[in-house]
This record gives sequence, C-alpha cells and structure tokens, in this order.
Amino acid sequence: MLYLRAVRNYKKFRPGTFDLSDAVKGLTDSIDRLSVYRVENCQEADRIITLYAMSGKDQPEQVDYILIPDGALIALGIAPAPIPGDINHAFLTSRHYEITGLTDQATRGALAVAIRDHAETAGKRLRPRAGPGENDLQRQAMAEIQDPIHGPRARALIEARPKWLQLVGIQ
Amino acid sequence: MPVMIREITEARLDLSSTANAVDVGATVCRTLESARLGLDPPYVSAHERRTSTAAQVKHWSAGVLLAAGVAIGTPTTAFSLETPMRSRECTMLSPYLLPELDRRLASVGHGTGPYSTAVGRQAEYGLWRSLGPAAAEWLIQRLDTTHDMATVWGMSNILSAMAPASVAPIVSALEQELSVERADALLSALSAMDPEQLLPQQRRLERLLSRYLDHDDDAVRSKAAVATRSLNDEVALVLLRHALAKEQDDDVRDTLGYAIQERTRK
Repeated sequence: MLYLRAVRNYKKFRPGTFDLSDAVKGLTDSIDRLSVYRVENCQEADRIITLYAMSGKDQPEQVDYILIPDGALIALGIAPAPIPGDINHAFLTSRHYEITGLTDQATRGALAVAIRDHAETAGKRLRPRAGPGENDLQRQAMAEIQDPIHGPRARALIEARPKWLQLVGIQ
Repeated sequence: MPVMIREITEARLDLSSTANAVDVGATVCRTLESARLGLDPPYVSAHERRTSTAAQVKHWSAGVLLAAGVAIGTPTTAFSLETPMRSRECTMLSPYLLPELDRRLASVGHGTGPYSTAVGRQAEYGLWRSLGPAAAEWLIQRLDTTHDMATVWGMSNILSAMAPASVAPIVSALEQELSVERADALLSALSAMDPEQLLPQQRRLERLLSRYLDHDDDAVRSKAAVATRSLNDEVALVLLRHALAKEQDDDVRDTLGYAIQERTRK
C-alpha cells in the first residue's frame, strides 16, 4: 500500500538530492495531521495528482508528488485513517486519508529518511505537456473528463478555469 | 464617492460591541451596494452578514471598511479604525482586518469553501483585489509558513488574480533573497498573469528571471522557465536558450525545451 502526498519538489526526498529541511516541510500540514491519498500503483498516483491539481490550480503547471510506503509508517507506529476528502469528486474523496501522530520535527524527519530509503517510492513530477510515451497533465486530465462515471465531476473542477479548458481542448 | 465617505463616517465607527459593529456593517453594506465598489453585493450582504460572533462582525466590518477605503483611495485612518501599523510592509492593513484575512486564508485549498466554485472564487478574488498591494504583501509573507500544497496553490491563484495590484509586490519580493517556497509560488503567480499586465516591469522581470533560471533548486528553475512567458519573444528566447545550454536536470531541460518550442512556433 502506498500513500500519495503532493509536495513542492519530489527530488528533495530522493537519494542524492535529499534535503532533510525541505522534506520535513513537505511532510507538514497542520499541527499533527497530514493529508494523503491512498494509491494502488503509479497509474493511480498520476490520476490522483491530476485531479488534485485540477481542483486547486487555476492554471495547469508542474505538480510533484511522493509516495509513502505503509511500511515506513508502520515502522514509526503511524497508521493513516480514511477520512473522506472535501474535494467534490467521488474517487478522490474515497481515497483521502489522514496521518496523525506527526507531532514533531524529529518524527517528520524520520519519515522523510524512510521515504528516501524506499527505492519504490521515488515520486514524480507531472508537467502540463510531455513527450511521447510519457504521461502528462494534458493526457491525464483528458482521460478524467472522458471518464464515463466521474467525467462530469472532473470537468466541474476546472469550470471557469480557461487555461485548463484550453489544455484539454474544451475551449 | 464623497457621499459614501460621509455616510460611513457619520455611522460613528464604534466597533466596541456587537450591536455597534452590526450597525456599522449594515451601513457599510448599504453603501457598498449602492456604490458597487467591485464587491459583489449579494456576496457581501448574504454571505458575510451571516457572521455571528462579536469578533467576527467586528473584523468583517473593519475589513469591508478597509476595502472601501482602498477602493476610493482614502487612507484607513479616515474611517477612525485606529490603525497601529503591523509592519512597514503592511501599512494599509488594519489590525482588525488581519484575523479576517486569516479566516479567509483558512478556506483556501479546501474543496468545500468559497474557492471550490467558479462563482465563489471570483467573489473572493474580487475582495482580495479590492484590498490592494498591502494584502498582496501580506499573502507573500504568509507563503513562508504555509507548506500544504493546495493552500500554496490557492495563495498563488489569489496573487495572480490580484494583478495588477500584486505585480509590484511580487516583483519586489522576487528581487530579494527568498525561500524556495516563496520563490516557487511567486513565479507560478507571475506565469499565470496576463503578460500585458507585466509590460511595465519588463526590465526588472528580465533581470530576476535570468537569476531564477540559475537557481539551485530545479523546481524553481522550471517555474522560472515557464514564467518567461511574461517577457517578449526575443528576450525570452535569449534567456531560455542560455539556460538550456548549461542545464543538467532532465525535467528542467524538458520544460526549457517546451518553452522554446512555444516561442518559436508562433
């Protein structure tokens, strides 16, 4: 099981470019809660970060995410709890979890190091447009609005956001 | 406009109790509705007057008064809000207003608040715009203590929507040594603006984007590459090609390459 967390720069969690201070900031929300999304695989991760960006950004631009393995959380005695998200999209809200217990910098630091040391959780940056064979926000957002079940909600997320509409070819 | 000032000042702005604050709020609402100062009247009257506690009413009244003051170019002190300055950068913001701005900021990045709908976003952006450059400076300062990405994105959206009022504060901030979080969010805000609004700042933007294209942080360099859309083609291509020639990071190289392609495709 993996948990997706949107961050400013996923490379700050990777070996070689790891930066503890930046990584700890990326694992900071409110005092002791961290908002994350449960994902089964990398394809779902791209899907969730795209929907998240569609709901929060007025213009499509690069978005970074990291994947937190549940093993790293278990080792720290932390168990994410499913808490329905507040974004009006059934798939997104059903995958929303909150991690409690990250009460101090030391615990966040330990989690950052654990994420760095799990090779399968490298994280990723999704750009608005990318080359052939590489997923990007444009492809993923178009797939979301064409989804037979959730498409209308995905489209509603970018209502009155002309740059998103332009990216997916609606305007 | 003088009529509005007289109406407001004659309301004797005693915000010391809920009852007085409600009276002030009602007067300001009526005045703003008649003056149509860019604040959506149904939004002001229906949404904001639902506030219930004395503190909320007081803060809101002060906030709306400040918005009115900024909109008509009259200093806040003309409304007797007794405004000791919080900081040199926020000289126009009343201390009464700051909790209200905090409250508004708390709803940024949430899927159920006013920012979750197109109508709500436009109303909120309208209010932030009416608060002028001081509110942009306040938002820029707050970026350093905000790490949740949805909130940072929301703040960047607001700063972009506040243009042209936010342009000078953003450019001035970017000219200083900034945290990567602030630099990242401010470059995003710049790149989302209409380039026309940035024309008066072209020389300053050229200098600062050249510096950020050489930043230590790869995400910031990528954002700077995208923000070159605020420059004219000739200048942007010189900066982008120079950056591409020395860039080692694959992600940034792709972003630079795409930005160059966009410019040369025209």
